Amino acid sequence: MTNRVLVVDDEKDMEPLFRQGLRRELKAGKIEIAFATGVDAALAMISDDKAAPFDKVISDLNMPGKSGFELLADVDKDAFEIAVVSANADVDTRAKVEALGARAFFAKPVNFGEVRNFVTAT
Amino acid sequence: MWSRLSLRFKFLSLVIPLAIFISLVFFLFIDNQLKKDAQGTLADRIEELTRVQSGSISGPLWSFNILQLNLVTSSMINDPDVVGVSVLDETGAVVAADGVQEANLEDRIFMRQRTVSFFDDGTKRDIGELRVFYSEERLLADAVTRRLTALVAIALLIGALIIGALVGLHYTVLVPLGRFATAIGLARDTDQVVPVDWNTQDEMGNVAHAFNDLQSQQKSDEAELRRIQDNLEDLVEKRTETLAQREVQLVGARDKAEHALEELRATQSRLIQSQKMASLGQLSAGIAHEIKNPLNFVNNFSLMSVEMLGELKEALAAHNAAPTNETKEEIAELTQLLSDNLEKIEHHGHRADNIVRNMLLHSRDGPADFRQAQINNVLREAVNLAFHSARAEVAGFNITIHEELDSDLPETFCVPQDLSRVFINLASNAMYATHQKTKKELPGYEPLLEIHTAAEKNRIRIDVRDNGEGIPQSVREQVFEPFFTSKPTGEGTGLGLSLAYDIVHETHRGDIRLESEEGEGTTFTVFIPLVSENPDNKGDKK
Repeated sequence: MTNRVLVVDDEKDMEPLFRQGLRRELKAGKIEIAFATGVDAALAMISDDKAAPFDKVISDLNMPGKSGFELLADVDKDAFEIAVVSANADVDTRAKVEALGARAFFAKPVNFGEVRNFVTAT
Repeated sequence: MWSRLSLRFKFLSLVIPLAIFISLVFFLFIDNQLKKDAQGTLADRIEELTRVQSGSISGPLWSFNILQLNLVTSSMINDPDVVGVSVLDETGAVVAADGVQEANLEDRIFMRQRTVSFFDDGTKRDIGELRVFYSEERLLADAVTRRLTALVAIALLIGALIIGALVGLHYTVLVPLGRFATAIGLARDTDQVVPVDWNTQDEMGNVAHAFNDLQSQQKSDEAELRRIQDNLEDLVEKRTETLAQREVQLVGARDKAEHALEELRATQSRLIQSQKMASLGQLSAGIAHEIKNPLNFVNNFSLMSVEMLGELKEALAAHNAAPTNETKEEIAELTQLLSDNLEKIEHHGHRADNIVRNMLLHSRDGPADFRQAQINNVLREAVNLAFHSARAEVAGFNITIHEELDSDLPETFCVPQDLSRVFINLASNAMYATHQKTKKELPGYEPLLEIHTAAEKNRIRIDVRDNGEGIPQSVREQVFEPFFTSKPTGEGTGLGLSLAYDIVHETHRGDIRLESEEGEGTTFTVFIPLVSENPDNKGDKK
């Protein structure tokens, strides 16, 4: 079973970082990763009927244009598990994203051990 | 010359010639009259004599009694005025003669003639003529004597008149004038009225009276004037005293004001420092966030590189044992990844360094140095910092930042950390304004910040435009004033734009303007002069 993962972050280097951090899982075919650098692009990919649906979404909060909070608010939380990755790791922010239905919170710098657990969980 | 002569002399020099002239005219007139009278009397007397004697010679001439005729003529010539007598017969021949016979006007000798008649039997018959010559010599001699006498009399009279006139002049004019002079001399040196002692009822008396009136009027005026002057002096003295007191008060007030100003300056500099600290505090959250992004990459890429180095070792060992294309490709891939990772680590490490340096620049106090800088970079970093600061402060804050930066913008000498402060401030305000508008939950509203740079002729133009709440017309004039803030108490120091204004105007000799439409947004435009030489080296170090 392959988990389809969507990573949303305006930092373009997140893609090579995630591909390296999760390279074993990728090689093992446990996951597939797609990347979006903005909320609008992410929403378009999520609602794309031709592609297979995502199982996991990991989103940044602070992004130009729409923020991760908007993404959280907009998407169907039952369709996939959603996690947040942010440099803002204070209690208020954690509480807010939890309330919006996020299953996990990864504070930057990201601990890929936690990420691996999240993306590989079924 | 004339005006210097004494009154007496003037009087005499006018009176004497005039008196002599008038006297002489009268004298000549009277003398002439007298002469005419004397001549008339003489002529009458000679006429009478001729008439009488012509009667008395009538007989002798009829009878030609020559002796008798001679007797008559010699008796006639005895008259003092008669100088000649002649008797002519009826034919005109001289019968008897004595003395001068010819009338000579030059010698003032005149002639009287009379026909001699004789009554013969009752018939009147002209028988001859009597001629009498007479002279006015005696009359003229009398006239000379009379004239001399008259002249002497006139001279005496004139002398007497002059003496009289001088005496009159003395008593009627000179004495009162002397009194005037005395009185005026005395009056000049005293406050008292010194009347002219002259009480006649004539013109001089009137003048004295008028003068006395005038003097007493003048004295009372002077007294009044002196009184006013004294009052004035009193007043001036009092005013001077009051002014001196005022001056003391003013100096006191000025000292107080100066002291207050000093305190104000101290407070202001403390406030400016606290504004810097406040904005630094605001920024630090944003900076912390901002720094975690590069840190994430540095940490994780290095961590993964360590793992990959392990894999590389294994791959190398495998390749050394049995080199295949597969192992070769794996090694190549791993080294490429490692190389990329190191580049990324370097890149993000540098990024973090920049952020920290910006923060330090922002917090640094005191004069900053001019250096050549690319304003695009300063602006971009500042806006980024402001953005993250806003996001750190307000959970869920977001804004679209639209950059339109002139890629050909020349570098200019400026104080980058100061300009960074300006831009952070403008961007923070813009974000605050859009956030306030977001709170109103207007449909379709998306916060937008546009930053724009352009090179103009001698300057660089920077626009920071937001679509926030806008600034009300009523406070647009005040936004650059120190301590003016529209934010709720505790949120703003009111120094941000004031500092920005100082930095742009004072440090950079530039300009900052603002355009705003309430409810639509605000544009701040900053002009920074293009400077190709370091102003710090020109000796006017700020």
